Amino acid sequence: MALLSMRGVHVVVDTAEGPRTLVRLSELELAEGEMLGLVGETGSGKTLTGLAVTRVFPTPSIRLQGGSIELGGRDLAGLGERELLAVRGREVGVVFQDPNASLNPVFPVGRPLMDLLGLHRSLRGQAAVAEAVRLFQRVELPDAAALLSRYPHELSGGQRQRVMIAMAIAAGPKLLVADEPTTALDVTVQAELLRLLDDLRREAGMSVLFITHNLGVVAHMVERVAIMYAGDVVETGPTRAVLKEPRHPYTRLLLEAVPRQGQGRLKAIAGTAVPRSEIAQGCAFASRCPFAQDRCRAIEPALEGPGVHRAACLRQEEVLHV
Amino acid sequence: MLHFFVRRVLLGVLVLIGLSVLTFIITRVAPGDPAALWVGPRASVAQIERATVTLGLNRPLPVQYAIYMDDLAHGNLGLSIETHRPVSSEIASYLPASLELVVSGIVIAILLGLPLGVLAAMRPGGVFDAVARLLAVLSVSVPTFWLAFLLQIVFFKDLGLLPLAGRVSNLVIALDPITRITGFMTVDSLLQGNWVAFFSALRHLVLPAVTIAAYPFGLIVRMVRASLLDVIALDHVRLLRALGQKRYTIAFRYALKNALPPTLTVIALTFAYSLTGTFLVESVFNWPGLGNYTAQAVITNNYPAVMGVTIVIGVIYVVLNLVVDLVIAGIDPRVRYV
Ligand SMILES: Nc1ncnc2c1ncn2[C@@H]1O[C@H](COP(=O)(O)OP(=O)(O)OP(=O)(O)O)[C@@H](O)[C@H]1O
Ligand code: SF4
Ligand SMILES: [Mg+2]
Repeated sequence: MALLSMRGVHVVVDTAEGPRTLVRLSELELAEGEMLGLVGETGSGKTLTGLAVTRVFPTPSIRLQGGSIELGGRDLAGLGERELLAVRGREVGVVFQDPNASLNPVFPVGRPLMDLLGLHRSLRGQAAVAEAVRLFQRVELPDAAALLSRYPHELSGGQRQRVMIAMAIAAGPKLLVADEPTTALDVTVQAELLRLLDDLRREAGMSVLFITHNLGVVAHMVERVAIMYAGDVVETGPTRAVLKEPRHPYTRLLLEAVPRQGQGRLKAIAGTAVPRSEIAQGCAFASRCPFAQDRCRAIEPALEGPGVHRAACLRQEEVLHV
Repeated sequence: MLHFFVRRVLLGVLVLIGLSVLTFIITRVAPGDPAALWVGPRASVAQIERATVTLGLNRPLPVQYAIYMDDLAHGNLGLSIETHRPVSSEIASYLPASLELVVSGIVIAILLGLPLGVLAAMRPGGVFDAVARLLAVLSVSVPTFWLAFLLQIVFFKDLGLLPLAGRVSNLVIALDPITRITGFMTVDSLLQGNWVAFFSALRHLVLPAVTIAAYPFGLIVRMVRASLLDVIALDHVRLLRALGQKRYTIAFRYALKNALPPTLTVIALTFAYSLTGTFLVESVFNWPGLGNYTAQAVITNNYPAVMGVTIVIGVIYVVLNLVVDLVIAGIDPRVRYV
């Protein structure tokens, strides 16, 4: 059964000219104990999609406009702020993208963790310290006990990211939303962190929504991927199938952009990502799509396909066989 | 850390030297002959000339400054032209009254302004925010004397709750006098266990202290609100929200600490400002403090007194800033390594 099921999730930003659509998600599902890779270019709406679950957006002007977000059978979209407080941290943990900005510079790194342990698990004093040490050890931080009283600037980027993961799993959530937890870090640290997340997932039976803009990062570790473009999922399926036989032209282009060994730099995709709000009708990718036809600009393609591998493209059979 | 501390102290000393040069020059170029003032209105020319020599006013300016600095280094602020008594002891007798007033005022401003600023920032556009913004604007723009009179009319005349003026009641002066220890009447009466005097002093302190508190209160509310709004938008605050931490815990335990350094700097600034601006409050409430003394000194061209007050307030300001810098260094570990 799906642990998380998002349907028609609509995120808008309030502007002087009225609400502007940033994300309009057809559907996104995450099974219990599964790690899903949410992949897309910068600005495609990955972060806002992940944050929609907890409804803590980057600014107050961004809000959830509609749709359903079912977590364990309960629709979070219908909950009020007070009820959401009991979901945040306890049922859903989040890890932010930037480890440098995500820890308060004027507090020792153990402090917010221990406060969360007090809040969610009623652990105080020595019990909180002991559990914090255990969590730090669990995320493979060296010298855990001493690290509790260190300040963020005394830690490396990778260590800060691990502290954040420790905070996110402190209350034993069923779902972890990890927003590009590795992009700010170098490649070997990235690989280690991804392995750690995979361990935690298996050990605790926790589902992980792993957000990244690098297909290469998820290729080996993640069972299933969802590709995002302009605020919606354009292709989803088992990672191997999506990577080997992409059904959406955008995925094809993304794959070509993944740096291969010896090739060096990332090849850019022609054109820039189009904001959701600028798409009046038809396929969102039409302006950049090498396969685009007239009908693509008239009909909005739905996510469809044989079995679990589906794409939102009118010409997916042709794309598949080029 | 030691390096940081030494640098701040040296900077403070430099500020004080600059201040001494400035006050010295200003008082020497100001119109009026101090020697003539020294000997009084009916003195002869010969008397004035003699006074010019005794006061050293015939020496070249740099020499006068050197002598002045030498005296200063020994804690000697010169003799008052009015009373011919040491300025230092006169200041010592008036300063505590003003300090008691200003410290109480600032404490009131902090106790009310800090929480209100935080509550305002927690919900911009909400009820607390509207109240905070209104009070902040009113309190910094209301004329001091007007507020003082208003408080007197309401709390003395209409309600009869608090005394009109003075530091303690005449009854206390007659029956339970306070022996001077620190010069802070509330503190001294407490130290002596003189409860009657303590409550009298406290009741007398309320209205002038509230008057003094108005301006710093407004500044603190605005400062806390503005810097907290900046902090609340930061990732580390959002992360705590996303992990379910309570709003009040986030605001008061976490974000406030980030917002404190700029607020502390403003508090130190308003402290010195309030200390120099007590004159109006002191005259309305008949409070025997430094404000009255300074105003008198300026009017009579009593330059040693004016310079003395300036230097003393300068020292207070520099010391306060040093304390604030150290507190900020205590709050933010990154500052210590700068
Ligand atoms: N505060 C904001 N105000 C207005 N628009 C915003 C704001 N934050 C994000 N957006 C817009 O919302 C869209 C989706 O943003 P989002 O941060 O979810 O993208 P992303 O896929 O996470 O990108 P990245 O890889 O850069 O993190 C983008 O077009 C972005 O410009
Ligand atoms: S529907 Fe048309 S425009 Fe859209 S991706 Fe498929 S081929 Fe390209
Ligand atoms: Mg993002």
